[in-house]
Amino acid sequence: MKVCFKRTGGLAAISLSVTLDTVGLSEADSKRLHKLIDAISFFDQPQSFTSTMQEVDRFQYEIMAEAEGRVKTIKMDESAVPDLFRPLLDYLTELARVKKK
Amino acid sequence: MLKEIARQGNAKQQQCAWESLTMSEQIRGQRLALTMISSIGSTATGTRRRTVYDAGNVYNLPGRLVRSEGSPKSRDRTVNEAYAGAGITYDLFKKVFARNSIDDRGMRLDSTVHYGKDYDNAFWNGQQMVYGDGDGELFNRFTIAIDVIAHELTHGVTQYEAGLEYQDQAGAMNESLSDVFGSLVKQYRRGQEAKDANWLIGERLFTKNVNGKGLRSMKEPGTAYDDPVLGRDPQPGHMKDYVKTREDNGGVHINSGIPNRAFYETAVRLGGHAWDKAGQIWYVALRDKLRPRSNFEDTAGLMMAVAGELYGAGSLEQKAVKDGWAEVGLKI
Repeated sequence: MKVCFKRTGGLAAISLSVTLDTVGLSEADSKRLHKLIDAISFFDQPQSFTSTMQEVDRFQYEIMAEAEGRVKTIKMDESAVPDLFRPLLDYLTELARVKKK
Repeated sequence: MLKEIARQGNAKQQQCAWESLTMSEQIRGQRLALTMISSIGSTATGTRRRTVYDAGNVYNLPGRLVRSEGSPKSRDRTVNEAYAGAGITYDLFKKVFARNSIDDRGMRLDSTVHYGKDYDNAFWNGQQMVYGDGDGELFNRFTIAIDVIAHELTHGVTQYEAGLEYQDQAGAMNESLSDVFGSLVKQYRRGQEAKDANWLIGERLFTKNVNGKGLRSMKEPGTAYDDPVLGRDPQPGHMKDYVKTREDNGGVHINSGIPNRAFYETAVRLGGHAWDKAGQIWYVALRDKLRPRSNFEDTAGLMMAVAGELYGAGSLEQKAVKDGWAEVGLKI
């Protein structure tokens, strides 16, 4: 499985991104990523979660996942992120930070 | 009865009542608690009304009430910074611009700290300020910078006045106004004149691991940081360098460098405290002239008009505004 994650916006407007291939990850990281993607039925989710409110200085997220011949990209305004997505977003943010260091 | 004590008791009684009501808040849930606390928090207009909540490092708002107006200092410095920062921002708007809080009707200033996990951001959600703790590696806690606190509060003022759309140039103008009044609050607290201020936004927000002075420089956009991990400050300071992008709502935090520098150029031309004249012109434009889709050129023209109304056509103040905008490539 491949996953591309990007976070833009925010007060500092410093973007974060990471591209992951579970083949190159440790077994533990690979299992965790699969589990988080499966837990939210990623490929059955809508393509976007858009806020109807004007919330300033917030992040925008984009996650692309590719697995077993399926490809899906989901875009989210931070204020519209379903609670269900939080563990995945926190994990991908953490990995993107590690990559930046 | 608790409400009465919170309203009329002595300081110690009020504190006990607040603590009891806070426990009630946790039990009854957010919506009911907000209604209740809103009613007991009411005071005569023209006074500060601050509340600080603790989100406990999750993503729910507003969180647990931890400090309210007049209550003793918390052991948590983040809570105290959010409280003090909201207070000095209220004071600047009240004493200098005769504005009664965010909505000019005495709105309570609600803040939530410790939002999310390693959350490296702060925002205004349309009703309150929210601050993350930062990741500790690159970002410190967001309450560390008073101009960031004032920045978020000013988004509230803009929401109630110009209602600038958060996209492209109108969005960058929205961002710039928050930086302008954020910087003014910092200068006001320090008692600084325009020539003595450093005009940095978010000073001390980066950890020592980052090669940077702050998030943005109003004086020299594009020079705030240059770091191997974070990259280089992308802000332009002139229209010829305007950044066209789809990210960040059309670069609202990037192109805000242009009007930021226009304000700096105007303020240093006028001298003295930046809030006295330049701040007045920008504030009146925000309150009375700007519209949801005002772009940079519209704004420059409207600010010229305001300077003429406040200080006279052809006045030194109006010339300073004209020259300030001309410095960034916008000739009026």
